[in-house]
Amino acid sequence: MLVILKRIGIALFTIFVIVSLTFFLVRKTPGDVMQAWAMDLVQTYSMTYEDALSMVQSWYSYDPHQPLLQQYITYISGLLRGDLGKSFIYKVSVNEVLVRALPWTAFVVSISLFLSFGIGILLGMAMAWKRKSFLDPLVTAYASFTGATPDYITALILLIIFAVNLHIFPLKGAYDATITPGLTWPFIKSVLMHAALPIAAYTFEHAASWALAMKGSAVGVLGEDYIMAARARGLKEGRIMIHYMGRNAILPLVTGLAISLGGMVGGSALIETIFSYPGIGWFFAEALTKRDFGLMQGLFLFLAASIIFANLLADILYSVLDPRIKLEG
Amino acid sequence: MFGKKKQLWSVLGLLVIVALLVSCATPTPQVIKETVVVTQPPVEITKIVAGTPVVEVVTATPAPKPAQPAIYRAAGGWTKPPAYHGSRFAPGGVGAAWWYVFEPLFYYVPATGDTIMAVAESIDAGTDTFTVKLRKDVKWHDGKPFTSKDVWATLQLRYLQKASIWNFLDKIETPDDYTVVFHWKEPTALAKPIIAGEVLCAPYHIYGKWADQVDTTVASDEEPNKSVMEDLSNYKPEFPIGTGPFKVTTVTASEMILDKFADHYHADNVHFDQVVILPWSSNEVIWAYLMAGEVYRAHPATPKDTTEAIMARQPKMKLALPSDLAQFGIGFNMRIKPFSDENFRKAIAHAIDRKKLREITYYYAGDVDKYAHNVLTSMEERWLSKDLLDSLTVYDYDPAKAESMLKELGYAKGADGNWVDPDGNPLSWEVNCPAGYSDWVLACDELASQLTEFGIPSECRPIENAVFWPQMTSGDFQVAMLWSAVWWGYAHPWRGFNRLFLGDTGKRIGCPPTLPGPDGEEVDLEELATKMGTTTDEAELKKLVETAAWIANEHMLQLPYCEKKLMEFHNYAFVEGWPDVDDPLWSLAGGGAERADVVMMVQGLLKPATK
Amino acid sequence: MTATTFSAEIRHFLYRSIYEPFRIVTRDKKAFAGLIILLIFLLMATIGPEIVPLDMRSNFAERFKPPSREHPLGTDYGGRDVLAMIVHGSRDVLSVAFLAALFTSLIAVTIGMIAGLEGGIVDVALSLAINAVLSIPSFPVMLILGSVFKVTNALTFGIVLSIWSWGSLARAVRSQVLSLKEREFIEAARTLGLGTFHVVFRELLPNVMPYVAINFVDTMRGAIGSSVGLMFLGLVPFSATNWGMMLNFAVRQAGAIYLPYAMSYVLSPMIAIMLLELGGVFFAHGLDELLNPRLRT
Repeated sequence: MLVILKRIGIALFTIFVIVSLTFFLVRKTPGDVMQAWAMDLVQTYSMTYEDALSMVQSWYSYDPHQPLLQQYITYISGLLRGDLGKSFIYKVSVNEVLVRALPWTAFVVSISLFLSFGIGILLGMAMAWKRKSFLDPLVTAYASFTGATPDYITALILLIIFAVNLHIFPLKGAYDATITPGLTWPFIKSVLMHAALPIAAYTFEHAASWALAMKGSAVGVLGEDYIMAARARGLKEGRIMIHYMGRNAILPLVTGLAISLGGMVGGSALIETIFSYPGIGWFFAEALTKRDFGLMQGLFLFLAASIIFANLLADILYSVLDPRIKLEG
Repeated sequence: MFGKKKQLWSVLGLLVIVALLVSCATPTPQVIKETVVVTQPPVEITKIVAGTPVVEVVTATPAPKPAQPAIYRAAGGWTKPPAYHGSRFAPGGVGAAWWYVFEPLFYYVPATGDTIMAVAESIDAGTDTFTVKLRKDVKWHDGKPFTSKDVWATLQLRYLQKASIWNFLDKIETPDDYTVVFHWKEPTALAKPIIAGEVLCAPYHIYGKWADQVDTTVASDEEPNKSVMEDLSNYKPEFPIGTGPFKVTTVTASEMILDKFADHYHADNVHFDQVVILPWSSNEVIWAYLMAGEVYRAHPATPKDTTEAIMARQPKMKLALPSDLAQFGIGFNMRIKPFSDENFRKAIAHAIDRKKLREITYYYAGDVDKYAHNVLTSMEERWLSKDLLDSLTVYDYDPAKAESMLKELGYAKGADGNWVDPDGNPLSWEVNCPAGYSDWVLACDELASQLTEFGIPSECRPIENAVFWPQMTSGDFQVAMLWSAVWWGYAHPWRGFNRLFLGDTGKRIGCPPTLPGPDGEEVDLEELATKMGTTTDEAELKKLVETAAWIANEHMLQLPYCEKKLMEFHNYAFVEGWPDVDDPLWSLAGGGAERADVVMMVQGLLKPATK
Repeated sequence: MTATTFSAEIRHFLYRSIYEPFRIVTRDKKAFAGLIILLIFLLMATIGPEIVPLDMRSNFAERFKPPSREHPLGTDYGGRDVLAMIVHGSRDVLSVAFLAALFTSLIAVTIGMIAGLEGGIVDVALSLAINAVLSIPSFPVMLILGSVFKVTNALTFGIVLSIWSWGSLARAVRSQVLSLKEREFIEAARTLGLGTFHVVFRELLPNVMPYVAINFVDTMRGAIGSSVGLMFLGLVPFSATNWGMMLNFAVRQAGAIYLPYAMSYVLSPMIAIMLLELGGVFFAHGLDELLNPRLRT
C-alpha cells in the first residue's frame, strides 16, 4: 500500500515536471502564426492581405508583456484548482474542449484497442502454438502490410470502399445530426454506424502488431519448464495453449494495452480528418499549428497525465498478475 | 481464483449474448387490424375468417407527398465547437457560413467590373463621395429591420480592426434610415471594389454599444478604441446574425446546417430550404465526397487524372475555371548575390520551364510562360496595350540562351557540368516553400530538379507554414516559391503592384524603392503604386499600369509560372441552373467560393435538379 | 572460480550473436528467407543506384503508366520510373532508418537496463525522463531542434529521428529487466559471484534482445514514416525518392488512389516497406530459436 502511494506521489511529481517543461517549451517554438493565418484568410474571405493581417493581429491578445515567471505561477495555481487553462486564441477553457471532444475519441479508440487486442492475442497464441503452420507467415505478412500502410491511407481506402462505393456506412460525423442524442436505439445505432469505419481503420492497422507481440511473448513462454511439465502430465493441447501459455504470455501485453489506452488521448488526427470525426485530434492539430500556448499546455498536460497514470496502472497490474514481480517503490 | 475467473467469463459471455438478442429482436406487432388502401373502385372482400386480420377497404385520395426539403450540399471550414461562435470580431467565428449569412451592400464582379445590388437599391459614385441608397425591405435574421445605422456600426467596428477601407474613408454619414454617404479622403477609382469588400455583419441593435464608443479620429490601438476592442472580442453569440438568404441553425464538428431565411428580400428566388456544409478536411476527402455525390459544388485543387476520374464517376459534373486572381511565382532574394544582379535573374528566367511547372503541379491553372510583368494573364488584354506587350522581353524557356547570357556575365560551366560564378565559387541553392501547400511543394521539387539539371545543384526544402512566412519576410532565403501577382479583394492592378512594390511580396524579395522606368528615369515605386490607387483618370491609370508592368518585367523582379484557377466542380445531377462555365458570374468565386453560389441562388438561377 | 574479464565477455557475446545465429539461420527456412530479403535490400541500397539509372526529369505525357517492360513498376505523377525511384531512394531510406533504429535501440536498451537494474533514485529519475519523452509530443520539440541545427547527412538525420522515439522501447526493456531480475538464473548467477558484466551481457541481454530485434525493423519502419513528417517541417532536406514521401504524394497530391491504372505507383513504396518489415520479422524468427534453445526442433 505504502509503495502504491509512493508511486502515485512520483507520478504527480513527474506530471509537474513535464508540465513545467512544456510551459517553457511551447513558448520557444519558432514561427509567427499571424502571417500564416492571414495568408489562409485572404483566400476564404476575399480580403486584402493587410486586412487579414490586421484582423488576425486584433485577435491575438496574448498579453505577452506579463513576465514569464508570473505567467507560470498563475498557470500552476490554476492547475491546482483543476483549471486546465484557456485557449489563448479562442478563449474557451480547455476543460470545455475536453468535455466536448474527448468522449468521442475515447469511444472510438478504446473500442478499437480492445477489438484489436482481442483479435491480436487470439491470433498470436495460434501463431506461437503452431510454429510451422501457414498462419504465421500469413499474419506476419498482413502485419507488415498494415504496418507499411500509414493509417490515413487505410482510412481513405475504407472511406472509398464502404462509404463512397458501397454506401453502407456514413461518410462522416459521430451521429446523424437529425437524431437527438439520447439513450434511444436510433441514436445508438447511428453512433455505432458512424463509428464503424473509424474503428475498422484503427483495428486493421493495429490488430496484427498485437498478434506479433503476443506471438513473441508466447514463444518466450513456450520454452519454460512448466509447459513441458504440463505436456508430460498429458493435459489437453488446447488447455495448455490457453491456460498455461496464453495467460503467462499475455502479461506484458496487458501492460502494453494499459499504456496504449493512456496514450489514446493523442487520438489520431489523421483518421479524424478522413472521417470528420469530432474528436480531440482536431484541437491538438489546431493548437500546434496556431501556436495556441494555452490550448497546447492544457492538452499536453492531459495527455501526459493519462500516459503517466496508465503507466502506473500497468505497473501495478503487472505486479498483481505476476506474483514474481515486485512493485518497485 | 481459477474457478472465479471462469465464472466471470461465463457471466460476461451470457451478458453479451443477451445484449445481442435484445438488440436483434424485432418488436412483435400488436396491431391485428390491417388497412388496405386501393386506388381503383373498391373491391368487396366478403370472406372474414375468424382469427385472420380484418381487412378494411378504403378508397384512397392521393395523399399529399411530404415535401422533401431541397438541400444544397457544399464543403467548407470552420472552428469546431466549443470554440465556434457568430462574431467576426473574435477568432473562431462564422467560418464557412460567411457568404451565406452576410451580404455586402453590393457585389463587384471582378471579370467585368459590373455591380450586382444586394442590400443596396442603388449607388451613386461621385468623386469625393459615394452614396448608397438602401432597400427598405431588408431584415436581419432576428427579424429587426436593416437600416443605415447598421452600415455605420459595421464600419465603425471595422475601424478597430484597421480595415483598409479606412485608409480611404474620411467619414460616413447617414442622412436618413436608408441612405449612406461615404466621404473619401481623396478621390479614388477603387470605390466600388473597396465598398463591395465589406460585408454587413454588425447590426446596431446588437453591436451599437461598442460602435458608439469607437473614436475614428484616434488610432485603433489607442484608448478608447483599445478597450472597446478588448470588450468586443469577448462577445460570442452562438450564431452569426446577418441579412443573407440563409441563417445558421446547427454547428457540430462534422457539419454546419443553415436554414433558408424566409424574410430575405429575395426569398422567392431562393429554391433551397437548407444548406448543409461538410467539413473541408483535406483534398482527398473532398474528392471522395464529390465522387459520392455528397457535395454538389466544391473547388479542390485537383490533378488532371483525378479530375477525369471524378467526371467519369459523376457524368453530370461540370468544371468552371474562374481565375482566383493570383499567380504562383518564384521569388529570388534580391538582397544577396547573385540575385542582386538583374541580368543574372533574367538569364535564369530562361533556364526554367514554366509550362512544365504548371503541368506537373496545377494542371488546370493558366499558363504564364512569356512575361513577368505582374499583371494577371487573364486581364492582360484589359490593361496592357499590344504595343507595350511587344516591347517587353519574353522570358521563354531557352536553356541555350540562359547559358550564353550567363557566360556573358562571367559565369562558367565547370567540368562536372555545374556553374561557377566569376569569383570561382560554385552555385548551389536551396529552394523553400510552405510545407502546407502541397502543390507548391511539388513545384518546389520540380524547380529544384530543373535547376539541378541546368547545372545549379538545388535542393527543395519545405518549411512549416508558421515558420515560412516570417522567414521569407526577414529575407532569410535564396529562392522561394511565393505568390506573384495577387489581386485578391479588388481585381485591380493596383492591388498587385502595391503588394509587389510596397507590400509583403516586395518586402520578401527585397524590392528596391526606385527603379529606372521605360524612359530611363528613376521611378519612385511607392509614388507609382499610390497614384495608381488614387487616380480617377482612365488614361492616366492605364499609363501608370503600363509603366509598372514594364518595370516589373524588364527588371525581372520575380517569375510567375501559372495563374491559379479555382476548380469549381458543380454537379448538374443534383442542382440545375448553373451559369455556363464561361460566364463571368463565376469570377465572384475568386477569394470566396461561396460568394458565387449565393449570388446565383439569390438571382434565382439555382434550383434542385428534376429527377 | 575466477571472475571473467570484460574482453572475454565481449568475445563470448560476439560468438553468441554473430557466429551461432548464422549457423541457425541457414538451417531455419523462414529465417533464411528473411535473410535473403534483407540481403536484397542491402544490395539495392549499395549497388542498386549504380545499376539502375535515375532520370528525375518530369515528363507529363508519361505519367501513371502501368507496369511495362520499360517501366517495370510503372511511372509516377511526373512520368518518372517508379522502380528507379525506389532503388535510388533505398540508399537514403535504409541507411537513415537503420541508423535511427540503431540509435533508438542503443539509447532505449541502455536507459531501460540501467533503470531496471539499479532501481532506487536512478530508476525514478530515468523513468521521469522516459515519461517525459513519451508524453510530450514531438512536433514542438522537432521545430525547436530544426531552428537550432540543420540536418545534412544520414547520421544527423538518424540522430534527430531517434531523439524523441526511444521512450516506449526503453519502457519495455525496463519492464523486462525488472521481471528478469527476480528470475532464478539471475539469482543463481549472483549467488555464484559472477560479476555485473556477466549478468548484463550473458543473462539479461540475450533475453532482452529478441524483443529489441523484433522491434528493430518495426522501429525502422516508424522512422521512415517520421522522416516524411520531418521533411514537411523543413528539418531535413526534401527527397522525392523517399518511399514514405512517394506514398504521401501518390495519395494526397496525385490522387493516385482514385486511379486504377496507377495502382503500381501507389503500391510500390508500400510493398517495399512491407517486404522490409517482413524480411526483418522472419529473420528475427531465427533469433528466437537462437536465444531460446528449447524452441529448436
